[in-house]
Amino acid sequence: MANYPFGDSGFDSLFDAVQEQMDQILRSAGLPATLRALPGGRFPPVNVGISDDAAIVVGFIPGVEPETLNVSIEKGLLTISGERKSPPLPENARYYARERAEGAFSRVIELPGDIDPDNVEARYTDGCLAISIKKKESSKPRLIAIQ
Amino acid sequence: MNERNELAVKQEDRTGQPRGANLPAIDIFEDPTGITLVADLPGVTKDRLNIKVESEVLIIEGEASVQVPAGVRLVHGEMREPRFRRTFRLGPEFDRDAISANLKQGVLTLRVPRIREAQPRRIPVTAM
Repeated sequence: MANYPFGDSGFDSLFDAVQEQMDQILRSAGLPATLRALPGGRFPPVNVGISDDAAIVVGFIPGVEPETLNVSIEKGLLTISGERKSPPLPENARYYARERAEGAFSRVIELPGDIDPDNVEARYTDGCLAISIKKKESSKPRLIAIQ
Repeated sequence: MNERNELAVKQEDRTGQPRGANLPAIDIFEDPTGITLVADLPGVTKDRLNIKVESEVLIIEGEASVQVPAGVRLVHGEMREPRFRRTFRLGPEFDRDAISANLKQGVLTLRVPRIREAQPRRIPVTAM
């Protein structure tokens, strides 16, 4: 028996496309597309990759101090949270565009079931947070010797 | 084992064809002496960033690169395209030779000063 393929019906991507189009129209009109004016509606964007021995999550979070980022794993869920502050506007200045996300953010990512939550490494470089979570030794692919 | 391997790109897209680019999120503010442009360019390093002014257009181009171990396959991607590009039209009142740029933690700050004549000036009035 297979699991029901949640979120894979194509409807999600259809709604995403509509949202994206709305964002573009509103943005070209000079209006913030969402309440917090985040491009694409969520911050930070996240990519998830897997290799034979690890799951790698990359959060694109430019302009934060690495020590203010919180990364935690609980019950197979990876949470990335933090806060991004804009420097105060100089005197006599006014904004023409404010698209960059500001304030507190949090993203939760479901990890594959075979990861080892005790074997995690996180690194922040050039505005990208790369988190590498090793898979459990028992779940790594192995060659079976034929006798 | 660690090599530059772009996690930000789908394997099947790597055909070398010109592709679309991300529109980076920006803040722009203006003060009497010029404008400041702040752009989010996560994963872009100094050597992969290209800022130029062609006739009246300011072009910001960069390419993100994220260091991950070899053999990583993308399973979920919200940043599918490592290239960033955005262009702005500069009015004649800006001094394109005096633009300064600073890149820190994936955030580019560009300062575009106004030409001195274009800055607001207070004309002193002297009493006779």
